[in-house]
Amino acid sequence: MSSIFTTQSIQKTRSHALDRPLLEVRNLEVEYWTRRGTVRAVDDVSFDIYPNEVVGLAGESGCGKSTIAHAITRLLKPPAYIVGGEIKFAGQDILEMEEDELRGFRWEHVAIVLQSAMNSLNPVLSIREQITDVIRTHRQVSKKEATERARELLQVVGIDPNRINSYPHQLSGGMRQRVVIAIALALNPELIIMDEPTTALDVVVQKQIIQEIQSLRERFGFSILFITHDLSLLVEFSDRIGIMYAGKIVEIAPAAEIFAAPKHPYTERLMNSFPTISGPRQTLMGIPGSPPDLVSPPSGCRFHPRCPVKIEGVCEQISPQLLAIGPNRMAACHLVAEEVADEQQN
Amino acid sequence: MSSRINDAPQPLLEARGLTKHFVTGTALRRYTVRAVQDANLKLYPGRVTALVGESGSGKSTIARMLVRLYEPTSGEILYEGRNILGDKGRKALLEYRSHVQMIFQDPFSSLNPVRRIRAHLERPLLIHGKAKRGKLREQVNELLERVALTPVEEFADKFPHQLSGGQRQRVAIARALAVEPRVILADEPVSMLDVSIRLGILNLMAKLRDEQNIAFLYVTHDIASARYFADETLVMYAGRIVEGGESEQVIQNPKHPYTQLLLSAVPNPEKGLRTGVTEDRGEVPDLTQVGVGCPFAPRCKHVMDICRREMPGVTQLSANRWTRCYLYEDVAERETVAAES
Amino acid sequence: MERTETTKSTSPAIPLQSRPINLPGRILGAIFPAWLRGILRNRKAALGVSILTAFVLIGIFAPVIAPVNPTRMIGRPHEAPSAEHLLGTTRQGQDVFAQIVHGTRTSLTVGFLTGTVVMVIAIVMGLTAGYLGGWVDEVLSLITNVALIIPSLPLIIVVSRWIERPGPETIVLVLSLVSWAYGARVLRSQTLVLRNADFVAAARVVGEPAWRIILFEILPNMTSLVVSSWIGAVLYAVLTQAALEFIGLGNPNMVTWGTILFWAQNNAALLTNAWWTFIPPGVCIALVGFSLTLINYGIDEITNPRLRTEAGLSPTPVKKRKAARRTEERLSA
Repeated sequence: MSSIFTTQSIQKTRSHALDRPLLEVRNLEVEYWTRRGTVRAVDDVSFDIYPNEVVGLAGESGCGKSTIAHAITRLLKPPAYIVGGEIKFAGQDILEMEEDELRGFRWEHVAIVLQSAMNSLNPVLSIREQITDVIRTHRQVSKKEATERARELLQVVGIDPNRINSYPHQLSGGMRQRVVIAIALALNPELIIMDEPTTALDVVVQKQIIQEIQSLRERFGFSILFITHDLSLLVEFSDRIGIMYAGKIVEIAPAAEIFAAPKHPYTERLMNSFPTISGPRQTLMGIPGSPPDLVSPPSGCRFHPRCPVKIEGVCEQISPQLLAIGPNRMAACHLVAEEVADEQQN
Repeated sequence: MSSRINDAPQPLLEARGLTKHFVTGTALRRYTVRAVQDANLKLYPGRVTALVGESGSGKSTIARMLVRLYEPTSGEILYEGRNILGDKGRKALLEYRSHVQMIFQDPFSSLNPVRRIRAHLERPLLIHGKAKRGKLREQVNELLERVALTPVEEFADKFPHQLSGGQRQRVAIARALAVEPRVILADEPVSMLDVSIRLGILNLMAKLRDEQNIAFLYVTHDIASARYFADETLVMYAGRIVEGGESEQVIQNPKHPYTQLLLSAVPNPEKGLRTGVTEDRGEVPDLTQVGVGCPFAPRCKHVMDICRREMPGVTQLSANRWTRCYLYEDVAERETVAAES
Repeated sequence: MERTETTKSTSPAIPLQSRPINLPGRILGAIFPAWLRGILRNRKAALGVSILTAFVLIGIFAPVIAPVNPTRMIGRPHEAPSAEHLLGTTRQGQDVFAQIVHGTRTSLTVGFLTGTVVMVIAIVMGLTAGYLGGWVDEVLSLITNVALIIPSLPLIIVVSRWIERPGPETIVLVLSLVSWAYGARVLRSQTLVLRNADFVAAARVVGEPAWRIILFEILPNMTSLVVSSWIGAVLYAVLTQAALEFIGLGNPNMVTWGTILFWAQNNAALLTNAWWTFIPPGVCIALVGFSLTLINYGIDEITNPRLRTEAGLSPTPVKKRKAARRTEERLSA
């Protein structure tokens, strides 16, 4: 391994303590200014990611989870605008950064792997050229060193380094996604954001890639923000999970706890929307209705029109706050808040 | 065939040895893509048969052959026991499709963006002569009601882009129902939909199966949903159906090594978090390259010499359960037969 | 339009539906259907449509605007513009203004007629070949390709020479027969894409006959392509007609922009400095060409949202290590 990379990564991990959050998102608000009106795609979202932690964000399409990924890397394009909140990475405010600083920040500290990325590889450049591109943009290294590093990265993500001169079309979807992960790893970032990285892949390939990411994380110790609609996958893979609905985080808790006992009615229904391959075969109901149109979101709790246990007169009017309902666990639901209050009284 | 006495009801739709080769490439270099090889399946009234496989396994091609969008390269399609592949001409096709209908994967592309919902539902009624004079409007409304798109008048005059994915898929189901079919081939009907509304669609189809005795073919890549919705499950790999049987049996006790691999890869938090390491690093073979043997042989842990030479035949494991794998048949016997001949 | 809305509004934009209904608006709505309003909201297209509409109106009301017979001698030769003869007279003493106005009618008619015939042939050939495929496609594509490689201008010249003094009808016919191939190619390839759309497969499964699928399922989904090809064909026809007549291959007794130019040239208007005989028809041809091109640009912008947003919404361009940033940007786009 060429020395420049190892020293870099050591410096990076030493630069902040393990018990302080690596990424802090506070009251983030993102709006899309469309012809139909303003859409608040992300509304008052706060969460942290600690070093070496996998945080999952789950929710249905249009709930704002991808928008968050793009906001953290400042990749949002008009008509999307960040209108409020803070995003701090190792104490540094990302939203204050100039375009020049951002370029040093992305890939160097935070890398992003998108669902579409495997189809965004440049078809006329070889894998080698595309990996060394990124390395040589950020590091003063010779072509030879960069190629050496590229071979190493391919090895790391489970691709035969001898295929380094292949072109994207010569690789399968799964291999292309591995290449994208290799590029994300190229500069040893502390955080990798993965937005539906396996959704377009078959389940067996998905398993292979998830395992690859798992072992890479054990080896290099980066954090992951993992975004997907597939709750089962998320539960298997993440340390903590945030559930999003219509632009808000409605529940956030350790994966095992969310799986064992979801608190928010939406989380519970969402869990119940996945048929499983084990356990009893029972009729599942899904969730009646469809996710709201965010041009005119429902009043009060945004889930209330689909909620089977809503409290009449309350949920339609008051938007619930995200409250601590246990150690390391929060939910935004009037019903859950009442239950917690009752328990505390008893 | 006809002389065989069988307690089981007669299949409504049956495929025998269905094969589809696509020839692609330029005039100079032609490739044959063996999309489907020797597929056999039977659909029964009031039963859902799932066809599970990864992308490119040929499962959609089977559905498209069954509805006669693709002409099979070889094999037979039997409707009520009669091979219908010989029936040519528009009239015969219309007749066939008044019994066999299809639902497509992507409700965003299966409805014509420039036409209203009403137009989508009126056409099949008119074409198949099901429209009653002066009652067309009511018939459309009734169809919308059956798929729970209410208030119907509101939905009928909308354009597809004004509906959500789930609502569009309901329109697609209503369109298929318009001709009062006995078989519906559903090609990944929920894979493009939001998680929370998938079950609504599956439950709707289950209701149609139960109430109208419709035979369903449910094509999917999601084996968990096959367990939920289908009575019988067939597993497909690289153009071959490799295993079949009652859904619960196939999923709880997979026999074919591919089915085992597939099931081990499905995220399943029930079984405990972060379990099950798959050693598999293989990839689905290029369908222009698959040869005579079992397509799974290159990735199979249990591969034997014979697997590469010849596709195994059907091994009946129990009354309703079969697989195509040498592990379950008397390999030795076969080897000797092969040596003698 | 999109741009002004998004950048100017700091408060939420008012959704269109919630605007109060006003009666004049409704009447306007009846006159200008939604698609036309959509086009007019684009500045380029609106300008193009206005210019073109002006010419069309001039063509329709030609006898009212210029009651003088454009072929009659009504003044002295080569009279300069005056109050009596707005654009002066020709060598033959005909009123140039009247000629321009009446010529508008012929030139535009030939243009629109040719454009329409071209599109009808292109649609029939392109959609049939694209949808049916197989040997039908091979035969039709062969014909199309042959028509495409025949050099059209020389062919037109040969045909026009052969038919002496071809009138507008002949020009329409000849132009149509040599210029449909490009449109047919474009429509065929678009049909090949749409043919594989699920809604086409669904229509087949429902039992729609092929001709209905082509006309009612596929064609309406390529309206913008058809319209822009049509406009392109009209433009080509207007220009080619003018060119043919200018070089003397038309019927010089007809009054069109091209023949006005032909006579101006014949009568040495350049030498005698009679600018009013050749500049006005030239300007008219240029303006019609300009307006049609603008409309096409406009349609392109409307149907291609990419062009629309890039106009003003993209962040300040960043130059710097362009080549190297390719990979990063592609992956995070």
